Amino acid sequence: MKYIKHMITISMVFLFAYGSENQKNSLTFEKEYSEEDIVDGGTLVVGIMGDPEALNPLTALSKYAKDVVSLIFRSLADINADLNSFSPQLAKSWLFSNDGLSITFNLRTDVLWHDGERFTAKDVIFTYAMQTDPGVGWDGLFYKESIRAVKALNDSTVIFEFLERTPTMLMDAVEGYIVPEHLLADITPNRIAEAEFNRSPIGTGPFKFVKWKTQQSIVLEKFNKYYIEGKPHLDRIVFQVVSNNISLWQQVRSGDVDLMEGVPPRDFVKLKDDWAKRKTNIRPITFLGRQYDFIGWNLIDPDHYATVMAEAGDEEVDLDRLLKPNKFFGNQKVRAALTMAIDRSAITELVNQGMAVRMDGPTPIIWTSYNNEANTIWHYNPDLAVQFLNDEGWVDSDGDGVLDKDGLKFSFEMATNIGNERRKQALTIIQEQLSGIGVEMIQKIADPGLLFGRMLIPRQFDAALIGWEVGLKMDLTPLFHSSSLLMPFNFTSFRSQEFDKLKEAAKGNFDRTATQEYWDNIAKLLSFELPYTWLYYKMENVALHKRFKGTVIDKRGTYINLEDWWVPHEERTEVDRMAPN
Amino acid sequence: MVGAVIVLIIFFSALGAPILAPYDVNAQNLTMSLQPPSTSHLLGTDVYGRDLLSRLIYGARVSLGIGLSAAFIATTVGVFVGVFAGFLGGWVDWLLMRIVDVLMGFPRLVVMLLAVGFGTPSIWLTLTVLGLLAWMEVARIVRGEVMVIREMLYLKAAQALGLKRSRIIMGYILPNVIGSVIVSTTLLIGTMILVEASLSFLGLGVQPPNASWGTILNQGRVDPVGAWWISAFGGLMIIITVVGFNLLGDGLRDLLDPRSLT
Amino acid sequence: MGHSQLLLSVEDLIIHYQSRKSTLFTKPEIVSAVRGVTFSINSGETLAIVGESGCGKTSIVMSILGFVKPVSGKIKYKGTDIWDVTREELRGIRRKIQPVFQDPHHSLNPRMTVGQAIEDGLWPHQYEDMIEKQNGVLELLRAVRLGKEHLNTYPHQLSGGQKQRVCIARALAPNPELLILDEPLSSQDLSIQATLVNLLLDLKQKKGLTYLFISHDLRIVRSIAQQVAVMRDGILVEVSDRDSIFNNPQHSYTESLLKSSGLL
Ligand SMILES: Nc1ncnc2c1ncn2[C@@H]1O[C@H](COP(=O)(O)OP(=O)(O)OP(=O)(O)O)[C@@H](O)[C@H]1O
Ligand SMILES: [Mg+2]
Repeated sequence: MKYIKHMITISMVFLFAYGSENQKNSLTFEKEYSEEDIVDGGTLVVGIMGDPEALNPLTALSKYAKDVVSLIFRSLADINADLNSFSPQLAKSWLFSNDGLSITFNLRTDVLWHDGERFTAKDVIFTYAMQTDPGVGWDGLFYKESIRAVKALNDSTVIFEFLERTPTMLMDAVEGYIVPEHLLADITPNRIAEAEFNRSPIGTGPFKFVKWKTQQSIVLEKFNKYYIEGKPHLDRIVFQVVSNNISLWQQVRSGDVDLMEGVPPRDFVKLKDDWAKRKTNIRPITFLGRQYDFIGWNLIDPDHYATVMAEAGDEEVDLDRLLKPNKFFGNQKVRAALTMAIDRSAITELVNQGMAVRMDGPTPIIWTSYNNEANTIWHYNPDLAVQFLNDEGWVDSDGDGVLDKDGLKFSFEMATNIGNERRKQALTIIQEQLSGIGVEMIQKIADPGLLFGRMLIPRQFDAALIGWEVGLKMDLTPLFHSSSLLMPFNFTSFRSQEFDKLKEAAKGNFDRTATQEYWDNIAKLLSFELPYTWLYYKMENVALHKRFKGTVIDKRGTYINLEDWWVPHEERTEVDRMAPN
Repeated sequence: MVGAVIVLIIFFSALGAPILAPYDVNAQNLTMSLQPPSTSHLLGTDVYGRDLLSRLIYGARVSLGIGLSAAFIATTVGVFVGVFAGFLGGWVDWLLMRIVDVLMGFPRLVVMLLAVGFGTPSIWLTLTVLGLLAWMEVARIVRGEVMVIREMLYLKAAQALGLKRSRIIMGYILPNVIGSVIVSTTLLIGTMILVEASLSFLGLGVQPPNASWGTILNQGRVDPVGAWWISAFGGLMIIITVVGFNLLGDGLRDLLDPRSLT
Repeated sequence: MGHSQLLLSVEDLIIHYQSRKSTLFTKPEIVSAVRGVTFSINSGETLAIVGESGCGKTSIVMSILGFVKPVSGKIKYKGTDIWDVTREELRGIRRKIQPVFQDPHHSLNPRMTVGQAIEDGLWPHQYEDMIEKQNGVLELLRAVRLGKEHLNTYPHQLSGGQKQRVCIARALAPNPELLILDEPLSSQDLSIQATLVNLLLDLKQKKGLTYLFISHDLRIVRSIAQQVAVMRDGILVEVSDRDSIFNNPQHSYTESLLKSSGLL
């Protein structure tokens, strides 16, 4: 029960990064221009579908808040498109110690905060202290778990010391934006949520905060003393809050908004068509994003779980007693049958208008460890599905068209969150396909808060069609490891000694092939066991006005090189000429 | 009686749905997603490749069923309350009308969301909630009429005859309010069909894969321009039906007017 | 008529109407419609109340019928105060006092046929079966000179005079002792007035009825009433027998009434 109470936050970000050279996913569109053509000036209007809750890297949770923060603040280093190597930012360079247990960072000495103060090692030390302070509740805390201490040798040198060697040490060290010690040191950590700073942030990034009209807009302007000479090029970034994606798309088409993420698939298909025919100024950009949808099967009996948890109160619970197999989904053959009954390829195609990739196993496609060969693939095969179910004793003994076993009808609820048309469509198709093999599924469309807080986290559900946001740190422990059994993310309550063993064996192993073997084994195991029936990995659909040049938009994000974006004079619009105020 | 003809046609196509519908109502054909009207699918298909005509015909069952039942519930409760308040007057009237005021002050949609959100969404819950939220208007109309009738000389004459209250209500009050009740009920049927549509819009009405006109209309949102036929035909059915019931209501009012009974 | 019995007595009747609800800032507006009226009717007699429009005649009627509660005063039917009985008792008394109103068009339920309207006035257990009941209804219709053909007609199909006859038939249905006729003729043509007067006189005789006859037409009053009460502004200015009123009016208002109708 303890976990449940303080883990109701629903930001599902785990990441991974490591491995792989041959990813050339960055989409650049520069052809006609050279370095000399680049000119300063211009305004970018970004449409976002929610007002950020705070513009403080320590407290920002939502995607929109994090996006804005990413322009105002900088971290020690940024990950490259290979999701393996890093580029220097506030740190000029770094060096691993001989024992591999610490990293020394050489900091830039020419960096100024937006208020004119100088950035030093003190800020790095302070940031680490805040990030790991339980009172702050930073959502990236798990990156810092293997760090023992962070020390400053002098104003421009810091050392990160680790408890053990891991493949993700560098990523763990540089994750998180550096915040100013001189402005935040006086704030008690557990009062950080109320800090004035959250609404008037001071960073070291290329753009400085100007103003924020709640539920309307946020304006950022070029920081003239940014530590990279001549950057950024744009004068101004305006984040415009728009209530829903339909009106946002409308504003993009009318030219009021320059940049939109999450263009609805059908609109995007049309946009691509128009763009190909040169009928529009809006450039479609698509790439493998960070999101996939899947069905999570509740592997345990919800009623039994609730009873045992209630009895236990605040005491330690006996896991063996807690995890009574689910009467439907506790059986691997049943899960395999349900997976085969669903035409995942057709769903992928239809609900995403082709802008997604069918997913067969646990590894997100952007991870370097992705290898679909390793997955057990359950092809669409309703006949075999029926046979599997019959083998397990599910037959239609009363002739009502629904399978039953020992008097129990095969009828269950599959939940999804309200407001997601894509998932709702997938649900409707799955419902029909399951009814084809004699399984009755009832759609349950719930408010997201209710879905996570009342159903998934307390395990009070049958099945759920939801999506995860993929992190760049490659780790499936939170989803499937037995140590996460009572945690929110392992909501299917998957427990496998084999998974735990594989994880243990892989520990401290830095050998590339061995690591890939580990990931292949994980994929093989999970795609056979099917705690999830994976559906599709989504492409991200971004629309951007074509006057912006020098853009790099890829799986790392839409704003990763905004300081390099520029607008040629001849393509400028009213908005670009808008007088700064 | 154009209204009666429209309503009857819709009513019989709802009854005869299994015979009339050219396709299995829930059968999907994902390769036939969003096909425009053609000879094989007269009104086109929806995003799941289901035949729109078949779904509209089956949807008539749900939409009419909900409209009629909810309007029936609302009318029954409304007439009951209205007659009591209007006939008894005094504190009974005062109390009932305050309850009506308070209930009318509630935003209908919010109440509906709460009710449907707490229970398991189902046709029956939707219907009951719809009915229970719509009776107040009927109650007000009926109360007003009853107050007028209460002052009529024929009612005084009836009271002077020493008739029982039940006889007065059944023989003198109800027959004289029935005209306006029927009109408001037929209007209510239309409103209820529309409310069901908006509830389905929020995913709270009829549960998929069942079709109602509301859910069909929602599916038109997928691509309102490209797949115009879904919203167009779905909307058309609702409009025709609502207009049909309104015409029927007018017709019945005339028909029930004693001056037309010869 | 020495042994005639006191049927109805009205003592010091005062009736107010509250024409507007009182609020925090306004006092209720009180209309004083009847301001202390006393009279009585003996069984078998006809008392006429005359007076111009708005003087309070209908208010007295409504109070006798139990519809308007008086502020003070007593209305006694055969010695029983009708405002001091249970609802059941009142129902019984009411059937003995039947009204016929001025406006026949609004006195009949538009949704009921003539037959049904009259039938409602018969006690449910008065007749053994439907046929007998039907005969009872027909008899009443015949009594007011209507026929079988009117049985299934609706009020809107009848003329004003016919409607008033139906109202009279309905009033006769419960075998009343007292008929209160509130200007029953004033909405009718002169020719119809004459026939209705004859009908009323005829019925009174046949059934031994007592009439409280309200009118502002002194000619009709003279032909029908034994006793006459002259009313003005909520007060009876003169109550006397017919001959005294018409031949020897005591009050100047009575005199002016007679003059204006050319009877003096
Ligand atoms: N329900 C009522 N509320 C308020 N005032 C009333 C009401 N009924 C009658 N009055 C008033 O009381 C007074 C007496 O009215 P009432 O109807 O008794 O007169 P009437 O002599 O019967 O007149 P008419 O010859 O027009 O029938 C009038 O001033 C009238 O306006
Ligand atoms: Mg009068």
